[in-house]
Amino acid sequence: MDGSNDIKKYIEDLKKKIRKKAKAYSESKTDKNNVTDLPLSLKKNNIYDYLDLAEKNAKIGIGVPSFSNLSVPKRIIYRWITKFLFKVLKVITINQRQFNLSILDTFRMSIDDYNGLKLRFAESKTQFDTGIMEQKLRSKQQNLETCELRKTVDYLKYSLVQSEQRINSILEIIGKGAEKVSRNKLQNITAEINHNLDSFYVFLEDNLRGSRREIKKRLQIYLPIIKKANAGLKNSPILDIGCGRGEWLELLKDAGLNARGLDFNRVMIKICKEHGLDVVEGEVLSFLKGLPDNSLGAVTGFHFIEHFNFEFFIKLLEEILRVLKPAGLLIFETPNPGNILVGSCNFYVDPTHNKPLPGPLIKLVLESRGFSKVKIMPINPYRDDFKIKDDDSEISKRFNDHFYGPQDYAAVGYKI
Amino acid sequence: MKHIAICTPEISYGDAVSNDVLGMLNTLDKQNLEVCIFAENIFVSDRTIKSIDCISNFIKDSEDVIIYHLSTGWYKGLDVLTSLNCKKIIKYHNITPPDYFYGFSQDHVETCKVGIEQLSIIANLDLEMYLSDSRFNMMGIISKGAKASKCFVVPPFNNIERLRNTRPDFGILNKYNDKKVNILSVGRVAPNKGFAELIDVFALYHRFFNKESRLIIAGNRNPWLSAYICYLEDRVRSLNLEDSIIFTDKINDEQLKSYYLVSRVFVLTSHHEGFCLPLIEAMSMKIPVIAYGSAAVPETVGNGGIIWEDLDINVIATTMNEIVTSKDAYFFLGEAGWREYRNNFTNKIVKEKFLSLIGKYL
Repeated sequence: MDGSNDIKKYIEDLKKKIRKKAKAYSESKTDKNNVTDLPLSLKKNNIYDYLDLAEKNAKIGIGVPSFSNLSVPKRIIYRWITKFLFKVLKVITINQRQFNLSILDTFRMSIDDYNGLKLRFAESKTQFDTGIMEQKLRSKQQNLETCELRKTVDYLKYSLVQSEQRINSILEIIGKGAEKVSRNKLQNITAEINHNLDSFYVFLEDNLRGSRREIKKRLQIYLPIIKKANAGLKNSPILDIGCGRGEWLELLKDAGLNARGLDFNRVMIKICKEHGLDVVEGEVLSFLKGLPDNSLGAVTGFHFIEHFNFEFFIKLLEEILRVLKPAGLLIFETPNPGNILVGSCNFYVDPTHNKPLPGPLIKLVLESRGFSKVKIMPINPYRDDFKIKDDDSEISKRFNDHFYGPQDYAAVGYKI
Repeated sequence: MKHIAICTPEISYGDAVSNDVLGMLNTLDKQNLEVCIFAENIFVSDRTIKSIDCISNFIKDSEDVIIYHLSTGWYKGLDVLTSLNCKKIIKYHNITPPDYFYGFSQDHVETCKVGIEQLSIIANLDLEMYLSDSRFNMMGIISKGAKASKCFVVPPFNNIERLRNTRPDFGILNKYNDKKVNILSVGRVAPNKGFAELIDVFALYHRFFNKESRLIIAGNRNPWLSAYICYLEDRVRSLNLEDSIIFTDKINDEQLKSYYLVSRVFVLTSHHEGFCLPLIEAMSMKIPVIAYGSAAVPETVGNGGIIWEDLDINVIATTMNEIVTSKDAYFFLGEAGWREYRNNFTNKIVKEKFLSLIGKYL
């Protein structure tokens, strides 16, 4: 294969060889009558060609042959006799010819009608198929909704069982008298109270945060950052703290990355496990304290840090810095109070939120705790149709920025 | 410093137009210019990507440049193109004729119609330069009224280097790397892509040449084209090939790479392509290419594969069999495809061509 001419020649030769083989195969298939398996549209003969040929033949007889191979006197005599015979025959066959041509016209019309019907049938079939398809889609959607409802019922059942367990424990205490119950058991019961809101928080997420699909779509923007930091490999796993329903973990899993989720909420843990994700139930600081130094490639937390007070946040950063490998990545996503609607209202829709955290503050805190290359990335602005479009004035632009700009931001930093 | 705005209706990871847009951004960014992407639908987060509504704050000087990617009807884009006073360059990626979508999706018919109307308007605006992915596209825009002296061909920037370095999805490799021969076709599931004919070709190949074979159609299934998808599924069912034809739906780079790795032949039976990126992806992966020579396909494949002028299912099925059974043909065509990619479509070549053409406006 020295040059393009050689390649061209090779391909041309190969095509010739293939054409020959295809012809041979085609003939052998015809012999076996297998060709009927092929779709009709692919057979080449056209019925209109046959009709044209028949019409041409039906009209023959009108012209007189030239007899050019005969001598002139003979030619004159022959032509004269032929003309005479034609005239006689025309009288006899005129009706036959007209009959033939009428039959052909009738054929042509029938075929046109047939083709018209075929076309209409195809159109109706498409409409019918589309209708069926839409119905299928609708029923699929209904199935999905039923499935979601079933899941909600599951969570409620789960929550009910938990509540019953707690009530039984309390009844046991009341029955025995508090002084007779062991200290450990009392501590366990007190700890259980922290799980009171588990099901409620799932209910809140399902109704306010957005569907699983939407969230996954939104989180996709972080995949390139993770890949660039080489996180998620076997020796540099990712830990997602406050993993919730596990949308991010699922994205990471789909991308072939090693990741584990951590959440305190048992119902969330159950949901994640149902999706086949690697998750652990636990309290974040204690969990991090149990990890060795320089053991993680990345730590992520989406809508997590706004749930805690400042002292906890500082302790959390110290632990994360310890467990991250050098050049390890930290991503926190949180509501953006720079957006007036978020800062004044939407933030408080979740009653478990503590305080809004402005981007510049988080940047300073991360830098002061030893993270480098810290960036604040504003994300998730309102849709364009929310924005005022009346004019291009400075005031409407500012208004749109303040009210309909990014609703969240991501704080990204690296361990030096 | 001169400002360059690259405009596109949508920016996301993975589609051919977005790859071209991001390739241009990377190239121009290194030329000491202020470059930004402006789009209406944004699915990529980057500080250099902004809403098209903000473009008037960026393009202020008459020497600034807009590079406008034309691939569909876009009212906001056309407004920008006609209202701003600056240098304007078009990159035309082709618009699918609406006829393919009749009976399947009225929505697509309307979008394509608007696209073709806007193509005529833009071609007659007599802008600074009209770049096209292929000669076929260039002739298309000239026929709508653009001056031939201002029209040039630049292949699109692509993600092949990234794809080649991507780690494959081992789940797919394990699943499909069996004794069966995998035939691959890549492209979104749409009526202009000729998948119905591809299914017929495969049915013939499967029935007469190789029962141990599988057709993989790797591409996004748009819910608005479900009528077409149902039509294809019916066809597959009526041919009893449910177990041998796989529709992957949307896949990521890792999965795409795996499908290329497990496949023996790449087949394209599309009726209309303005360039067809999957062809060069397959050629870069040394997979023999068989294609129906419609629209820009012969130009893209060049001498890198087998092109058939007619969509004769018998001939294409025989070609598949020839490549699968002849080691010589398999390796030769793989090598020919690789040469074609290396000589014409690497990002380095595209970059040089692109810069040499638009250099005078930078």
